[in-house]
Amino acid sequence: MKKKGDTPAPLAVWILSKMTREDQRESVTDDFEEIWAEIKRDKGTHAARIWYWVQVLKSVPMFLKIQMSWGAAMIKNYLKIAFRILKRKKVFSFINIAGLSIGITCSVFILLLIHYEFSYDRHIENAENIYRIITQWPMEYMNTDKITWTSARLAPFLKEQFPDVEQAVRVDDVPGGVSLSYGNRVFSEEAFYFVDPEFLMVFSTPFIQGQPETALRHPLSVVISEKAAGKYFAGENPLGKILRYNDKFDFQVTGVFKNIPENTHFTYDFLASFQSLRTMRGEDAVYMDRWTSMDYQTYIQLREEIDPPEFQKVMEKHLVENTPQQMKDYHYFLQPLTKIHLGGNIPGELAQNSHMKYIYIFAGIAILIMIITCFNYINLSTASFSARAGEINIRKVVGANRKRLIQQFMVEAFLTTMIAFILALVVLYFVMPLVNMMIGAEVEFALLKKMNILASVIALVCLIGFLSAYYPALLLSSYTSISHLKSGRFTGDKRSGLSRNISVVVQFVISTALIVSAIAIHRQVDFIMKRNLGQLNDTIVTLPVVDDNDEIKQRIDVFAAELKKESAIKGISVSSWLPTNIRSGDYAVWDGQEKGEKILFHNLRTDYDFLDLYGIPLIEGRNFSKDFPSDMTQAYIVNETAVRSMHMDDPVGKRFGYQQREGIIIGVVKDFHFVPMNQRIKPLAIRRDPQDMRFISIKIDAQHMSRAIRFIEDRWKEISPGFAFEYSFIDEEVDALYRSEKRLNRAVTFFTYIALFLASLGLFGLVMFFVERRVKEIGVRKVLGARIIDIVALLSKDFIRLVLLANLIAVPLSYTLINKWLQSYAYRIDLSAWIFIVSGFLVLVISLLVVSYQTVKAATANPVDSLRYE
Amino acid sequence: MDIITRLEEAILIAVWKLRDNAYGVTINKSVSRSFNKKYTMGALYYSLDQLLRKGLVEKTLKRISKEKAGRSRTYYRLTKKGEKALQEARVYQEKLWKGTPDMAFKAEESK
Repeated sequence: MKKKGDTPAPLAVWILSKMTREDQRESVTDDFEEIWAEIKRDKGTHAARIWYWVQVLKSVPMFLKIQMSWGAAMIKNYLKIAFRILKRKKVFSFINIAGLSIGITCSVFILLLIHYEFSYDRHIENAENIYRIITQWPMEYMNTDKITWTSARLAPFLKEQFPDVEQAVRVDDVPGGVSLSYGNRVFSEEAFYFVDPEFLMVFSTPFIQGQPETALRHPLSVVISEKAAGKYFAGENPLGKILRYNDKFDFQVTGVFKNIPENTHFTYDFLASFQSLRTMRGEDAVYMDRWTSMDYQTYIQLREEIDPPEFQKVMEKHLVENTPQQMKDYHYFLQPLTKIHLGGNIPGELAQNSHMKYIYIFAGIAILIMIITCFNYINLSTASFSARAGEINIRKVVGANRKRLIQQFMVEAFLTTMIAFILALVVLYFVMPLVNMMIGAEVEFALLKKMNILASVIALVCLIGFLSAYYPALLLSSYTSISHLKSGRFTGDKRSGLSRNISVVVQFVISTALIVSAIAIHRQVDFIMKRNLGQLNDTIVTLPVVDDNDEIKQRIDVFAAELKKESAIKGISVSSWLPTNIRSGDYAVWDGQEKGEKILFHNLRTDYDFLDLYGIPLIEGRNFSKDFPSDMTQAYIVNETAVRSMHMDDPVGKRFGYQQREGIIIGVVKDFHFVPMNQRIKPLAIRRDPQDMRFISIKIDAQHMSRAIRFIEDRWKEISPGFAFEYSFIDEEVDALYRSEKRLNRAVTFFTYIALFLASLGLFGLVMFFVERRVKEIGVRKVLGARIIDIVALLSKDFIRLVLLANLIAVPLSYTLINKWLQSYAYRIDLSAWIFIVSGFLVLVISLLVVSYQTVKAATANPVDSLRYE
Repeated sequence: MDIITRLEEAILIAVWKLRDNAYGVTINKSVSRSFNKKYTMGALYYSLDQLLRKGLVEKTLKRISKEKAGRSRTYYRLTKKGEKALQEARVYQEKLWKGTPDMAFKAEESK
């Protein structure tokens, strides 16, 4: 056996052998090894090694020179041929380039989309060290036991107790938004938050005017974005100006910051000092000093060297020791800032987030489209080989070896890919806003200017070029030439035939599966919407009530009385939530409750007219009524699910208590969907209670809609001039609930069209070549009396068989995938057979059309043209 | 007849003298010894290539190690044409030197 040190370094030998001419390779390496051995004997291994490497390095410049001059000449020739072929075969080139550019456009777009999704919050300076505190509590709410809410005490506590915590800040949002006014400018604002003064430093808010260090030190101070400054104080200096909050509090503007990028997990236009909350709440503010005030977001910035899991453990221990007994089951976690956006929506989230699963879905679609694109190129190239047999054989005869042929095809493929890439960029530039709108994304073309993104895009394009070029090149260069030179074409290309069949099948499996998914997703979204909207047969307009105090309550009463004067307004009701999305809950007590039995009830506070207005039917008992004054303090109406979960046989008249208010059940309503459809219907308790009303619902006559809305707006402005008039229709509210589903639906549908189009395009090209090759045969058959239909059938049947096979494979595949997706919904459609039948049929019809266009053309052609010898 | 260069001549002589053992390294050594100058392998390959092309030498590939996939070595041998060329070179040389006795030796000594 050879020992190490017996031979020169393998790497050097390899390089040397690569650089020498093929016919000299053996003798050169052999000679050098012998000399190496001699030097080793005389001067030692080390000297020998150095000598060998010097020899290798000395031969590099010459090698490169030779390579480059000859390589350039060859590439020039390859490019020339490639351009000629592109020009000569117009349809072929069109299909190839169009297919590739569509594929590349989609892939690049999705790549940018994914990049955008991952870019969230990374523009914040210390993003890596900032964490949000997540609470885990012993209560399941919206299918999870985690919430983003923490106590107002947590942030100060962490800052005092732990030197590892650089900063801890609180954020409080205002559900339903606020009304801000300056002079006669009144707007309703969603992006209004109360934050600790240090927030500006932790989130590196980019200031234009004012001092971030001191801007939020005082109560009732607010900093605003450039956008907001333009909206309220166009042309004036905003500093020192007063913004009136809900027509009640005056906030002084102490700073202006640059607009916050969209890729932030919550974007803000107004940041008011946290201290303001105390001023505004007056005596009630003591609530904020309790550990149970679980209403605030807490963000901490750890010192750089701190290990987060370690810190989490210590923090947890401290918190258990210091928080009250009733919170001993609460656990706290650190969620890295940069992971918030793709971490899904945890209840309490300041703005809607995305989820990793969408990234996977989009990446999956991109890969599928890439596969279809590459297969198109492969199919068309291998199919067109027979036409190029002559050229390739001549090349071989004059001495091209396999490597050279592969190089040639690579150059051709890269040329095509590059043209397609440039086209794709142009297309992308123009369709980007359209696609963004369609699938609800905010990807910018300018992202391509960033070097790393550009690099990854180019790598992607090269990958596509390589994948689509490699197999054809390998296949074509592998033919031995003699037999083909004789016949002038490649006969018996069984291998390429099989691979083509496989790729046609794969393409149509993908297309069919995508169609099935698109239909199923569409049906599910439709089902959800219908089921939710099915409860709402009337046109109902909703207005948010931004603040809750006696004065406003009186105003609402006046407002309601005014509205009843208009005939187009059918009814009006005030409630704490809309019936489509009830988001608060607590534990209840009831007659016959077993010890330790705990049920979370969602709760809703309404007036007398709510159930009638929304047409929610009572199954048992009665509605709230003015005839029973005790309804104001005692009556509860529950839903069917509540009755079932309390195991009550005869619920009406049973005692029921909730949030320290004992009462009795006076009625039971039919179950309706008040939580999004991915969750089961939960127990619900409704009570008549004027506290904390957030929404006004107004039922209007759809035929006089604009009159009614104008009337409402006029009255609103008359009665509460300090509040913006912002209404929405109840079906828009439902829409908003399922925004991510609808987005998925649109995206999948869109990419399904593209996939199907690409697959059809490929099939079209393939049939074209197939028919072209059999032109003579068709001519002979026709002369001998074949009917057109026979010839069409003869030519089409192979392709149709492949498509049918693809359908068969696609059915179980898509069934499994879609079923998995549907499992995440508590209420879902049945995957009935017709979805698969329709999808399969659709694909079959489209492919039949594509195939028959060519075959009919061939079959109806005059045989004289095809059989004539020139 | 081609006039061969001095180096080519030396290589032909070396190949002839080495008989069955004429391959890169041995040829190089022999040539370097006779000219008293170290030749690089590269220079030698070029000349050997030229000789091959002119048909003065031929090469054979022989397996040199016993292992199955072992290395092989290229051996060179004079062709008929090569032998003739060498003889002609010698004749030509002698013709060239005729009538100029002792010159070479004097030059040699004066160095």
